Amino acid sequence: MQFASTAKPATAVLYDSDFGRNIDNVLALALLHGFASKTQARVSALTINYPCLEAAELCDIIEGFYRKAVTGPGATYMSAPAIGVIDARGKPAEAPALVTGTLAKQAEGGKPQWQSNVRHWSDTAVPANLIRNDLAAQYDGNAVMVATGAMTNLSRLLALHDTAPLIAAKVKMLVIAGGGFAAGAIDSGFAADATAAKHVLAEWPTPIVFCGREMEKTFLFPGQCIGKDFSYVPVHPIVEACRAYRAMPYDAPACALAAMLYAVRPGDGYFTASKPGTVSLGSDGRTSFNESAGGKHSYLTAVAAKHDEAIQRFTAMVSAEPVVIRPFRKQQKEEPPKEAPAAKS
Amino acid sequence: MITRKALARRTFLRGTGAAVALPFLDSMVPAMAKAATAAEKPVRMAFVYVPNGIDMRNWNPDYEGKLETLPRILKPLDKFKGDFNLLGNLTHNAGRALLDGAGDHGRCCASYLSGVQPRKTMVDIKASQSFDQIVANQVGQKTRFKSLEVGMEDSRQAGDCDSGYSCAYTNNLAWRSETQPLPPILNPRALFDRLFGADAALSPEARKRRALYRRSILDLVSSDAKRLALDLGPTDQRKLDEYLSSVREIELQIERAEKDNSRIDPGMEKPYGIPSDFAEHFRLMTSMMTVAFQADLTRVATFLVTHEGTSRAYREIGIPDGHHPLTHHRNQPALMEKVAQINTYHVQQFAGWLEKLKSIQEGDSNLLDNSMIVYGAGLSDGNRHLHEDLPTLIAGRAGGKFQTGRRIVYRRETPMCNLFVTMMDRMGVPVDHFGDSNGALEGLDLT
Repeated sequence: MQFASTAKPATAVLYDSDFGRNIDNVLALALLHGFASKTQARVSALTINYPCLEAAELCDIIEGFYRKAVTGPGATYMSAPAIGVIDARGKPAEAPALVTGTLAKQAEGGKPQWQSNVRHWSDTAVPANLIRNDLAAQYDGNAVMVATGAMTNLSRLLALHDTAPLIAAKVKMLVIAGGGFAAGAIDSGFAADATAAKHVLAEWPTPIVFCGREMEKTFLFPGQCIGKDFSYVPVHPIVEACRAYRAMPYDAPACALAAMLYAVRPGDGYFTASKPGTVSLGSDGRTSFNESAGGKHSYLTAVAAKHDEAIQRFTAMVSAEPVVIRPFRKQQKEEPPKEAPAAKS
Repeated sequence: MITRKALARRTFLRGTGAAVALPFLDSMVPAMAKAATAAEKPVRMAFVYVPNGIDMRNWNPDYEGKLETLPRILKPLDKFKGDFNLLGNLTHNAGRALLDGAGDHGRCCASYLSGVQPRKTMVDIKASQSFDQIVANQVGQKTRFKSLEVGMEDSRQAGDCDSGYSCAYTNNLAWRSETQPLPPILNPRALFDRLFGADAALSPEARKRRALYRRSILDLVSSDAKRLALDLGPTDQRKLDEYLSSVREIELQIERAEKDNSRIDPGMEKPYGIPSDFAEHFRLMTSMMTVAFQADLTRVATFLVTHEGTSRAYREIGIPDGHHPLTHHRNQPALMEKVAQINTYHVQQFAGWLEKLKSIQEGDSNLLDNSMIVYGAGLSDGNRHLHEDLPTLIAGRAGGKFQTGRRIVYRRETPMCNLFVTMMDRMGVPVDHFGDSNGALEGLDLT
């Protein structure tokens, strides 16, 4: 059931990722939920760009964890949002250890800790359709796309009939956690489907901002937070995912976190965007940037003076306790970030 | 040596002010061309639309693949399990709010066959040409009527029927153009006359005279029928006899309905000639669609059973409550039970139509096999107004092209328009896309 609206809701964030292949992109989802709990963003569409049903299961479990905060009459009208996963075409990808380890978590009595709504491929959505349909429901200029991993889903989105004008109208910018601009690193996501990456770089109709892989060295998510900041529940899926990924404690490279932070809070001064230009993908899988007036691409560099504040910010938001989400609720003030343990760089 | 000329497919029995088209007869096939004609048998397509969603708990089986035990609402279709496919997860995004606020009933009906979100207005209505009309414009060149639009519930065509959506949206399925809905014919007599042109073509005096003597349309064409019968073989004679008997039966049903229109109170006024009994009305309208398909008067039909958002009561089955209010059951079991009963009652009527279609032989197959009959709704859960996983079944084999008898669950957000693109192709009207389609539906065709 829908109700007429009188004001624009918070920015819709559509997140396309190789969810579960690393902890960074899982933490980025938690960060997005943190912003959603403060009504600074909305979790609008989640899609996965490698063919792994188990990754969708985990994504749905994490969504369900945050969704449980919604109670009362409104909950009757909430159904589980679809998780988009690229189709396997007979060749599903092996589930990463982060995914299988988290799904294997058992509650007392040996039952699975969490139940997912995703059991079959038919429980998941076609990513391009999901994104298109979600964009159609957004106010003009009130959506941000965040992507990490292969660009296949976005390329297929662009291939849908008459979708480019819809993207141009609805999406403020596409923020890609990927590419390499400091040392020209090879991005495994781009390399996984170079044709799709080139298609997106050439045809995506809005500005694209790159949060390059060099951010992985600049920003590390402090592992010590995992042990203490999520204690508002006895068992937290994000904590279990961190444990399943690698032996604790560790500081996690935070490129996707940085991209998500910029996507939701671009004006907070944590990053500087380059002048406009064009990013190209070479045959060796490396990205290069050529400055040009009128170019739609730019890349971010971290502002050194605000580095620690940025880490404190996303540390606090990743571990924010879920609250009842009302899309038209006024933006909530954040508490001053606690002093985060220094990350090992 | 074969010298006998084949009977023309477009042969009519003619009489004063009447013309009755003939069904497909063996004599219409030239002796040396049977194999070729078999491949050219016309495929028909129809949509049966029920409003206010369905109780999906009792519609969706918990399995995929071959249809086995059917859920409660679909039980009446048990003996047709091998004749239809039950499709899951088809979505009409155009029916969703998409910033237009309330009005799901108006949107879901207007977008159902048009594939676009209608403009929210009560005045300058706008949707899009519905895909059945795109097909009708192509294949309708070969038939007397491009399409038939049929309904059962009297309803307004103007004013506000749902939160600012014009009644034109809730009360029509087919759209000739983006601003021209095609209102359904509700009155069986009007539909009969349209199909057979009886009264419409008569002079006022002849019409009066015919009414006085209450002559059957078959009386008017009887001498032509007798003359034709002399040229037919025994099989065709039997087919012709059965066909004309079914036309006569429809006439008699209409006459009975006109005489006895007050047995059951449906909770609203009925214009003269519209049967009060839901099942009888349904049977009459589908019988005439059957004849229209059988005689190749048209190949495209839409049937708006009752209009979207209807509050019709079903006292026939002991439910005095309005349909629409019941669907907002807030998960109260007693109300949900009534919704399931109404949904089942509708499917029972639909099963009757399938039986009729299946009973009509066409060459080595039957009329149902040579059709695509979609039964569905523009909402799934009427309580929450959901536009995904729309209840959809498609009966018939599209002239031997479809494999049937299966539950096929597509991935979520698969456009309903993909089904339409597939159907357009099987009707011989291929298109690259329609509405928000992103391809054809996989899994329907024979492999």
